[in-house]
This record gives sequence, C-alpha cells and structure tokens, in this order.
Amino acid sequence: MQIKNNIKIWVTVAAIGLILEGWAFYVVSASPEHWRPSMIVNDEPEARALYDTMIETLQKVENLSYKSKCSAPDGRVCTYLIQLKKPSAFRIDVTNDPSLKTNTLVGNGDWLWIYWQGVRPYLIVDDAEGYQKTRSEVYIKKASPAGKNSIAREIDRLGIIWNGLILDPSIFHGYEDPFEPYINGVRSRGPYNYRGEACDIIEVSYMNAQRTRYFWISKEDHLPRQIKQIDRLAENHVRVEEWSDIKSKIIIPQHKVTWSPPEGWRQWHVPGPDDLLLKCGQKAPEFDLPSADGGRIKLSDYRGKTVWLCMWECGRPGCRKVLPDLQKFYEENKDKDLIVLGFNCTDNKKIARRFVRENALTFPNVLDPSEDAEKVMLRGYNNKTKTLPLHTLIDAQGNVMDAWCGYVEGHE
Amino acid sequence: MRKYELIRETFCRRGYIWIVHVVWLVLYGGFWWLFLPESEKEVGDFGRFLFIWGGFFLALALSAGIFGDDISSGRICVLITKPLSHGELYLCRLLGLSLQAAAHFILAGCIIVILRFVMRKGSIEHLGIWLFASWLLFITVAALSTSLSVVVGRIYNSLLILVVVVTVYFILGLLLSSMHQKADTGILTAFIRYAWPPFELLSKFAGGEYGKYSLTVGRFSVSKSIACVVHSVFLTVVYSIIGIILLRKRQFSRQRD
Amino acid sequence: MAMSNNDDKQAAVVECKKLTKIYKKLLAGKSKAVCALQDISLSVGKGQIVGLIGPNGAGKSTLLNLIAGLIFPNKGSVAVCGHPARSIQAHKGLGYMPEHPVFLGRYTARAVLRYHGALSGMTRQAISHQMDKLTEKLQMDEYLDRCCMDFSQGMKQRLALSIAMINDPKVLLLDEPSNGLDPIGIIQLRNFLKELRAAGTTIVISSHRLGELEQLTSDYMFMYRGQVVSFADKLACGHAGRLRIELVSGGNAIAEKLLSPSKVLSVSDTELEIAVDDPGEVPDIIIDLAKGGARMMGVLLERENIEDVFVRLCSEGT
Repeated sequence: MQIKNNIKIWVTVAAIGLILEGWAFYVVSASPEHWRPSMIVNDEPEARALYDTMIETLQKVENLSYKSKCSAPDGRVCTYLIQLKKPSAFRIDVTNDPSLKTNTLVGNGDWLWIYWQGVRPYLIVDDAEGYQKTRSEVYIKKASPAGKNSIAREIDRLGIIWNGLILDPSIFHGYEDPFEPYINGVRSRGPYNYRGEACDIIEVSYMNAQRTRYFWISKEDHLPRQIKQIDRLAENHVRVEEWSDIKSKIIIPQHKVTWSPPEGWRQWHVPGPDDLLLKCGQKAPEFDLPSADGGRIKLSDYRGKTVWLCMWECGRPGCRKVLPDLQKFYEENKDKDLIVLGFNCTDNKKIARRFVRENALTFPNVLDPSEDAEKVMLRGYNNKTKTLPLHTLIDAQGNVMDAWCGYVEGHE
Repeated sequence: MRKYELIRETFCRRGYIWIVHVVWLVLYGGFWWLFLPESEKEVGDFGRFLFIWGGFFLALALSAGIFGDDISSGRICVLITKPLSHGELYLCRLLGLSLQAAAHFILAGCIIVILRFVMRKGSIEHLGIWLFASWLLFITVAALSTSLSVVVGRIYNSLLILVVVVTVYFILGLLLSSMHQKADTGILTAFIRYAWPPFELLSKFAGGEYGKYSLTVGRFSVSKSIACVVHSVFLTVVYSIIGIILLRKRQFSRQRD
Repeated sequence: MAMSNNDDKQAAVVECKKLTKIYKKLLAGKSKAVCALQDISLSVGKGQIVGLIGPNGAGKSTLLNLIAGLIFPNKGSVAVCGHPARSIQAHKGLGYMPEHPVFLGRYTARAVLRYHGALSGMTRQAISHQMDKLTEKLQMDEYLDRCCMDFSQGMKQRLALSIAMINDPKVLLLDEPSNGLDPIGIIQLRNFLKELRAAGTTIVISSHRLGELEQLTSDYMFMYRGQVVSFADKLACGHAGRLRIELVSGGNAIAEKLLSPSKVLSVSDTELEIAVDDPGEVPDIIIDLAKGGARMMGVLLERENIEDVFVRLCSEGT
C-alpha cells in the first residue's frame, strides 16, 4: 500500500514536471527568428508621438554633428562623422577602421562630391582595368538637390562592403524616408537607461513587419542614441547604429561643408546599376526554379512570347509600387503573347506569399530564396549592386531587348 | 545531521576548494576594476563574465571528482554500505555544491556593490538577475558534472565537460557560418538550446533582449523568464535522475581476490 | 552446502544462494571473462565467525563485496538479515571494513567517525558515546584529533574498524583486518572480535593470516578459483595429523613390508612419516611396527593445523 502511494506521488510529480516543461518549451521556442503575423505592430499614440518628435527635432535643428557607428553581428563595423548644416549643406566622413584613411561625402544642396584620401577602395561597380585608371585623385560629382536625394543611398550605391546608415541624415534637410508610407505602427517598448542616459524605446514596424526598427530616443534632446534594424528576408539581417558625441548647438564652419577638387584631380563617372546589366541582343540566362504556387518555372517554357522579367523584393518601396502596375499590365496583355514573370530570390517565403496574396498578383512568380536563384540574379543578370526592381525585357527568341533598374512614377 | 555532514563534505573534500572561491571572487573584482571602462554604464558585459566564470567554470572546478575521487580511492566502498539511499547521497552532494554557489554569488554581489560605491563606475542594475541566472546555470552544470563523475574517474568529469562544450560550440560556429540552409542546423541548434546546459536561455533571461543583435527588444517577458527558469530546473532534475540511476546501477569493487 | 557450527537451527544472518560472479570487461569477448565465483552457497548464523581462506584469486574479496552489496551477482542471491544485500535495511545492520581503507585526508579521525556515524543515521550523542567506547577498545585516543593523511597503516586499520563498528552492526565484514597491525594490535583485535562474537555479532573475515584465523574463527570456508573446496570447522581440522618415527635403520624395508603406500608420507632409512586420521590409531601402528622388527628411537605425533589443511586443499585443487 505504502509502495503504491509512493508510486502515485512520483507519477504525479513527474506528470506535473512534464507539463511545466512542455509549457516552458512552447514559450521559449516561440522564437523571434521566424516571422509571424503577430510581429506586425499596431499604432500607439504616445509612441507615435515620440517618433514624430524625433523626426521633427532632426528637421528643426540648425546644425547637427554626431558620430555614428554601424555594426552587424558578423563583426563588420563602419564609423561615420556626420555634420549637417542648414539650409542644405552636409559632410560625412566614412571609415571602416580609424587607422584607415576616410572617404568623404560633401554636399551643398545642389551638388554632391565624393572623394577619397589616398587610394580608393575597389567597389562592386569596378572592373579591373577601369579601377587601375581611377584608383586615386578622382572624385565623383552628382546633382543632389537638398531634401530630394538620399545621402545614405549615395553611400550604399557605391557598393562599399560596409554597413550603411540606418537613419538617413537627409531627413535633416527635409527628405522624406521612402519607408514612411509603409509604417504599420509604432509602439512603445518601455524606458531604458542607455549608457547613463534616460531613453524611451519605440518599435516601428514596416511592411507587415518585414522590416522593424527600434529607436532608443533620449528623453533629453529627443534624438536617437541607438537604432536597430531587422530585415526579415530569407534570413534575418540585423544592423545596429549607435550615435555618440551628439552636438546640436554648435555652429559648423562653412569650410567644413564645402569642397572643391584639388588641382589635377579628375572627375570619375561611376557606372550606375543600369550600366552593368545585360545589353540588348545578349542571351537571357536560363533558369528552372520553384515558383510561389509550389510548382516550377522554366524561362524556356515561355519561348515564343515576349517576357517582362521583373526581379523584386517586398522590402523595396520601388518594388511595392511597380508590382501592382505590372499586374495591371499583365492582365491587359495576357492575350497578346506577352507575359509578366516575377522573380524573388531574397525574401522570406511567408512574407512574400502574403504580399502576393494581398496584392492579388496573378502573374507567375519565381519564389526561391536559395543560393542558386541568387546566382541567377547576381551573375546571370549582372545585378551586382542588388538594385531592385530590375526589369529585363526578353524577346520571343530568348534574347534581351532591354534592361533597367528602379521605378519611375508613371513609367511605361 | 546526515545531510549536514554530506553537505559539509562537499566543501572539505579537497584542500583547494576555498582557494577556488577566493580566486574567483578576486577575478570578479579584477574584471570590474580593470576592464569596465569609465563610460560603460551597463552591467551587461560584467554580467556575462560572471555568468560564464561563475556559472560554468566555477561549477566545473567545484564538482571535479565529486564522485570520481571516492570511486578511484575506494572510499565509496564504505559509503555505499551505509544505510543511505543513492538518491540522498547524490542530492546532498548537489545541494552542497548549490549552497556553496549561493554563498559565493552573494559574496560576489557584495564585493561588486562595494567596488561600485568606492570606484563610482559601472552600473549594478540587474546585477541580481545575473547572479540568479549564474546560480541556475551553476546548478545545471554541477548536476551534469556530478552525474558524469559517477562513471568517469577522478577529475575527468569536469575536464570532459570542458572539452566537449568548447568543441561543440566551435563546431557549431563553423557549421552555422558555412551552412546556408538554416534547416540543416536547426536540429543541432535546437539540441544545444534545449538539451544542453541552458547557456542561451539563461543569458537571455538575465540579459533581457537588449542584446545588441538580438531579434527583439525588451526585458524578457514574465512568462519567458519563468519558462527559462523552469526549463533550467527541469534539465537539472533530468541530469540528476540520470546520475542517481547510474549510481544505483554501478558496481564498486577495488579487489577481485 | 550450508555452514553451521552447532546443531541448533539458527536463523541465517547472511544467506548466499548459488552465487555466480563473472567479471568481464566492456566489449571484451567471452574469452576475456573471468569467473570469480561459481555456484557458491553460504549460510551464516548469528554469532558465528566465518573465515574465508584461499589463495590469491580464490574469490574471497568478491564474496565479501557481494555480501556488502558493492557488486551484483550474475546468478543467485544474497541476503543480509533477511533483506537483499544492497538494500538500506540490510545496510542498517552491516559494518564493512575494506582491505585498504582510505579516508578524507583533511578530516581528523574524530571527524571521520562523526561523518560515518551521521551517515548511519546516529544522533550526535550516540556517535559520541560509541566513539568513546571504540577509541578505548582500539587504543586510538592519542591520534583521534590528528589528520588522517598522517596516519600509519596500523592507525588506518583501527580507524577503519571503528568506522565499521560505529553503528553497532549485527554483521561485520572484514577484509584483511590485521594488515599493518603490530603484534599487540593483532592481539587487541583478536580480543575485540571475540568480545563481539560473545555479544552475538556475526563476523565474516577474509584473511591470509591463517594462524590468526585459527585462534579466532569457529568455521572456515576454503575457496579455490571461485569455488568452495571445503567447509571445515576447527574440530575437524584437529583430527588430521602425521606420525613421525625415528628408526635406527631399515626404514625403507619396514615401510615396504608393513605399511600401505597411501599412508606413507615420506620414508628414509632412519625416518618414517605416516599419515594418521585418528590419534587412536597410533598405539596400533607402533605395536605393528615393533612386531615387524622396527627399532624405534623416537615417536612424535604432529596434528595438522589450518596451514597444513590450506596447503593440502590447494594442492588437491590443482
């Protein structure tokens, strides 16, 4: 009897233990690694007000200087010294190592110059022969009207393998972040003491949580101290930007934000993303990859028809704008031997499928976040800079008719 | 009195045990003094140091040969013939280690508070949680080490765990960096997360999700915190049960005359 | 075959039934297996002292370990005080002294005794009382507060015996208890064990000191290569003997003429050794020899002692 009672007690204890462990397992395994709809944030007025105040503060100050350190889990680090001056001047010194010489972006509201101290780095857009000719004493000059152009984009566009800025300094000059219209909501994540400074943390969700940003906003000056961005593609990409040495009450001397090329320096015309793409008459590279509806798509199956191949990604505003237009175009031209073919090799499948569903995209789509598909895009179609959307028109014989990147409003 | 003697024995069984405690406490103080920069206001870096050194290495140092010494020397032969259940013997030894660790971490906390007061640098916010998480990790690692000590002689239980942990994490790092298909490493990372001593879960519990590259932000929710603690305790119980079963099944004999 | 000293039926305190123990290394084949004990049965009653005797490798320590519950038999069963050998109830009345005792070096003898007393479930007062008794009996007073790492072998043996006795066990298992003891220590041990026997403690001793066993034990179990060769009690040992006769001459002729070859242990011209099963045979043998013409100068009857029995049984075993 005693033994039976003992056994009963032990069995009960074991059962309770297993139930508790099952519950614990369930709770801890709800890992934030996998995208879930619950990650989409609803707006909280107070948090939204904090966000808006931060943007307003950035836009209101006359002069702003700060250091920004951008890093990623793989150890890559890039530091920036950013100096912004109203109405439209700026200077950004970039280095990925304090011991190396910097490259600098300077702008006056009309033009932007990029130049390097010493030998410039080999960029994605370079080829060996061209690089030898433009290694040093060169500069880039581009039109850059204040408030209309993204400074951060210019750094990214160079294709330097560093980490770019998360918060675009152009906001200071009134530039609207292209991701603004895609904010689902802003919510508060509580107060936090960030390196001795009292901050509020807010979470901003974009594009159904395909991108999330966290801002540690100082209660004192309403400027960020840390920004974290998580992009949920096929894999999760995390970047962190830390601000320090923030000065908003200083006066930045004019000579800091002006520049003219020294004697003997040459202007270098950087190849744009379009310059690297396939040329008219080249054979369009073949592929045979999984599709969004679970089947497979082979390019050669569409021989005899004109194909508009559009490579896209959920998280690019340009792609989000162009795809509904393409859907309309596809419906209008279905019977005319013209087919629209989507190609997505970077996105998380769940997010991409949801996007396809929400936008009622009925044209066939390759959906394959694999190395093979990425090789097709990078090497096959020469999209080294990963500029999206990338459009390629392919004729009935499988040759390229035209190729271009990006989206222009009303483009036909 | 039996429990008291068994618990006391875990401290007195080897001469170096009190030296280990002193050295570890000095290390904490040294780390705080030497490596925390003036401007560092977070307890995170120190917390992680405490977590690994106190929760893992201390557990290995104190549990080295906890049964292996008795078995190798033959003392176990007399112990086993006492009217003492194997479960009680095992649990009292584990309890002895846990109480030592608790006293150790309380002392560590006091030392850090004093240093903070004297040197006026660093932050002791959330230090208590780090100490608690370190203690939980200590108990789990100690249970694993004690169970292993039943089958592995002398101090090789601790050495084995140290070598295995370092090797596994090294290989895992290589695999994760080289494998592109996450699914292939999912099983391995799941095993490391749930069956292995809970380094990841407890460090997340203590550090919250303010880890620089973590995928969310926020001090861990109450339910997740409790879940981490429950899982850690569950693992400890599982390791202990394995150890008690091994002790019951093991045969102890030095002579075969 | 059961061991019992008297005709009275006593409840067995230690009961071993058909014990078989095979030592085999992990992953080793059958050829590497060693059969340490084969089909051993033993029953020891209350108050008995049983000596386990045998050459090295006979299985004495294995049998002790099985009774102590340190190892498990491959076949058969062991019970102590009616409970399985490794159970807590069995260990409540058990005291075990290993051959090479080891203690926590940093503990003093007092601390070790207190430790083991506590493990046996005794109260502080009971431990103190028992400690006083044992230290007096075993002359341990002067080193009770010394660290065990400083102990000599003899001190260790005394301490180990104290540990085995700390909980006043009903059954005492001693493996080579007199190792390292000086002659006085051996005498003290012997007297102590006799007192225990008188008090009703059952003792099983394994020892190579046959002389000591002879003075102490009532029953022997001779073991050879894992098997019991003989159960013998003291009386039976004493019956066997040899008759040594000194002659003037002609020993070979006399032996050939008058004696059966199986009885002659050794013969020379001037000396005869004759095996004798019963001392009562001696006068008849002498008369027969005298009648046969033997001219005897001296006659000596040597009784077989335990050593003789041991050697004899071992040689029979091979």
